[in-house]
Amino acid sequence: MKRELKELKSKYPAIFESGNATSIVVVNGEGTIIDCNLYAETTFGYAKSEVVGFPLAEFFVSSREEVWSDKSFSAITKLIHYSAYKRNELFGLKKGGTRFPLELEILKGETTSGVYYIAVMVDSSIQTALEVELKKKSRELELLLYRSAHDLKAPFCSAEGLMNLLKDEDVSPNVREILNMLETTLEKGRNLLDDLALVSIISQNNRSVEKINFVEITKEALQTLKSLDGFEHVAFELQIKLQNNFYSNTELLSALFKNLIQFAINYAHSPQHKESSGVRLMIKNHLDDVKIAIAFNTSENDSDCSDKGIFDLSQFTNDYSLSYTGLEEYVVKNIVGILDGKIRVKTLDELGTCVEITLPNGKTN
Amino acid sequence: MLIDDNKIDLFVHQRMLQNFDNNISVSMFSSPTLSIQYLEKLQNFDNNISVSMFSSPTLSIQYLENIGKAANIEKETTPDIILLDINMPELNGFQVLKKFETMDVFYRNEIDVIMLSSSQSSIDLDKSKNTTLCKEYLTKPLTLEKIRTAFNSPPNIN
Repeated sequence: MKRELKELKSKYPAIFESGNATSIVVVNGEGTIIDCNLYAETTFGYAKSEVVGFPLAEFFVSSREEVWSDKSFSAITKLIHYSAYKRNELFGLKKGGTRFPLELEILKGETTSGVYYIAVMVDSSIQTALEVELKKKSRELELLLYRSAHDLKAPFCSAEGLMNLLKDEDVSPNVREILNMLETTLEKGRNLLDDLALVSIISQNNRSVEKINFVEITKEALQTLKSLDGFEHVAFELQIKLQNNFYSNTELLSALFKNLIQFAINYAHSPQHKESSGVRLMIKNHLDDVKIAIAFNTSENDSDCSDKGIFDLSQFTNDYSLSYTGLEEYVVKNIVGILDGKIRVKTLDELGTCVEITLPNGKTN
Repeated sequence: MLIDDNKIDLFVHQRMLQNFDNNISVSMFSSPTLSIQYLEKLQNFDNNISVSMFSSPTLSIQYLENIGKAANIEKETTPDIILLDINMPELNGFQVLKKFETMDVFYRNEIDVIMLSSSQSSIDLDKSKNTTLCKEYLTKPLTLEKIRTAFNSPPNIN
């Protein structure tokens, strides 16, 4: 075994002794350490002479201690293949007793004198710390979004209340017309803030799953969007083919439909379109999922909007021509994400665009 | 009675209620704590009368008259309906409602509470459902239609 190990080391010296980023430990068939590289010594804080002859499992701990009551080598391989295994569950144990997260891969080799294993380990402390920081920041931003949506909604409602009082006053037809426009504007803003609060993770704890009435949801969405600019120029076609009951969260689906249709209207009714545009909404379900597709006409200039990256929010930072539909897209994307669905945009032959969304059934029995 | 930290909303809601019925008398509190204190005073006033009545073996005519006056005052000052906002800095609507639920004055006088909020969150709606005093949940802005539905309908939170 020693001879073959020497052969191996001479064959791959760059990998084994480089010690730049990877700890490499070689163990025999019983899981006892027979060699390690310099980086492993530095990372774990032991000299090679202190670890050779000891079981590799002695240098690992897990956040799930019960898995690690068995300190044998087979426990490591079992853990690696354990279906629920996730990164960050495995920690290296340094000489001083401190733990650090690591990624581990075990490669099996065979020689004439028996089986050996090479444990390749990467210290993932920095990635893990960044991941924790990212999650924290993401949570803070979601909280900010939720609070902003709620706090901004209050003045919208107060303004709507004042406007309702004004409408009861004896005002001229011109003023009444302006008040109606103001009402539409405020309502649009309030609805958007509602949807933004809804898709924030803060609201996730209280989401019930119930039977979805697609006809009702679509009707409500169209009713809400009636006052939208360009709505009167859009010819809607609705196709609903339901074979099974579909279960999900009604609030989220209502917001999804409203924002998806609004998005289609925004794109379909581009300034290039003088005549009326068509929006076709198709809903079809199977036992396990539902497919929602919205197809809409686009002008020649907009026909490549799937290539432009609609539903790619990073576009908005440098392409302000798309920003007018930004928040609807954000809401749609977030809801599809929350419901574990998929979203796809494709260009149709007849200069149109189709947004396809697949959502899993919340209850299949 | 209106309880809302936003004075513009108080103004709008008062005007809407009077547009609905000019005979409605509206008291307004921008501080939830003061509204609780007011209702506690009403409750203590009412409790004192009850205790006196049961502890005194003989009641003088004068005393009965006083009780009659007191009952009238109570009747005049106790609200029939409270419209309660949820998001308030001092105490939120649900904390206020929890306090109300411990006060006899609500049950003796059958005071209904209507939550009135800009929030459409199902969390807030569910919380309201799980209280005994809350009759209805309305979203702002308050309109004549909403008042009509809430005031004329049996308890309906959905």
